[in-house]
Amino acid sequence: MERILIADDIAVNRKILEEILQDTYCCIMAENGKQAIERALEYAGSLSLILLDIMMPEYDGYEVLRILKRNMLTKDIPVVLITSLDSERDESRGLSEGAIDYITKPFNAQIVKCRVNNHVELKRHQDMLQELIDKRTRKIVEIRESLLDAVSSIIEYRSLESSKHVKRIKLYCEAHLNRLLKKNLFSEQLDRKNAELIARASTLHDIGKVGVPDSILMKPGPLASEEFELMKKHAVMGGDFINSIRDSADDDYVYYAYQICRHHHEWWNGGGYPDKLSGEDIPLSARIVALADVYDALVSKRVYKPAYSHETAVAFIRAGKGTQFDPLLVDTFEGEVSELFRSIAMLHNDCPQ
Amino acid sequence: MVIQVDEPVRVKPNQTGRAAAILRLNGNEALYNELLEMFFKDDAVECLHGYLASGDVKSALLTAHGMKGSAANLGLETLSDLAGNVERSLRDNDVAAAQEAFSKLQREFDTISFFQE
Repeated sequence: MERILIADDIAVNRKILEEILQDTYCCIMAENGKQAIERALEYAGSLSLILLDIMMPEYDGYEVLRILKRNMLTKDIPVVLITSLDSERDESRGLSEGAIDYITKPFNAQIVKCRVNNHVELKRHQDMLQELIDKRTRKIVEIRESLLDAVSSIIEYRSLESSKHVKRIKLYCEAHLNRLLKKNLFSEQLDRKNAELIARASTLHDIGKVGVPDSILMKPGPLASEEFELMKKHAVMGGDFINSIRDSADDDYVYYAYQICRHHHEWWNGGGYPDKLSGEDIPLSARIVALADVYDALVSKRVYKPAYSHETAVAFIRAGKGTQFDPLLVDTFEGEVSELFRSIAMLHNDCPQ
Repeated sequence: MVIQVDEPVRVKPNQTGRAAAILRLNGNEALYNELLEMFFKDDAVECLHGYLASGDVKSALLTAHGMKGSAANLGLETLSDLAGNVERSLRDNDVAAAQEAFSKLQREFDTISFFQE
């Protein structure tokens, strides 16, 4: 049975409305404005409609309406005003402040019932449509994300790097981000939701390598300086690629993907590329990926180098504290997080035993 | 309520108001009688009297307005109109006129509650 809230200070009026509506609805009652707000908040998720008297003690109907319409939890609950026949001004004012309709005293049982039914039905349709839109939107977002994931796996095949590298980067970032959340670090830019987005976007960090020639990507041994210049371009190209599919400013996932692609080779001391950003100017997302990417490059075998031990990798990162890496991130990395990195590298090894 | 022998002859309240009110309640006469009993048991008239005497305009206004609506719901049209007069006078800040309208309201209330009992 759907719930409705009846707010009227006069007992006779409440009784009439309850009698009219109780066969169809579960009626919650409020005797004044303050109670109306309390009940509305208490039942916010399950209220289909509010019948609201205007002249009431402890907040009148207008005040209640304004408070309900300003609150995220209650703003979408339709409000039908209860007015007197002779108060046209009340009706127009109430409607302009967000009420959906009004009923007049004396109540006519059939009219009251029909109006309430209509609005509850409308609300139901509205909720259904909203749900459908949310579902479709989620689907679209999912499709775009899986497309981007597919793009990021292309580079793994192209470069002959491990197809598991991308997966490990995501896991490292997750482990590191969880630790930061737990210790309440960077809390002004980090919450559970964007930590998850950053971890997902980390898989795209190297997509710009699609634009780097095979001869460079697969070259065994160190790169000549002009080759290295070409290699460095992958950060810019990756950022540009992400920018080309960035269609709305508030899409956090694509926003983080851009930061990560462009800036995951910046150094804390400004010695990195492509923009020579330093310190806090480097986006946090890119700083986290930078550390994970270097760790993975060190412990993995690459065409140009053998795999180093976990201890060597940790020592390398420790040595880069404050020069290559964000010192605070190095601090959280040492200890628990680095151990997690070790197990991730072992579990998702390129050549499983 | 004690009726004095020298009370003026009372006029029975408007029966069409009652019939219309019952009709509005889907013909539910039992509910109507229950509501009427609720209405007369309520101490709104006494409260209104007190608010007017003490000059509490805000509470008097709310009470008069409430009575206007509930009386209308019960088809007590004259009473509803009289409560409306009290309300209007109070909105105009004319307490003397409100007092006067209230004495008429009280007389009407006593009359119909007499027939109610």
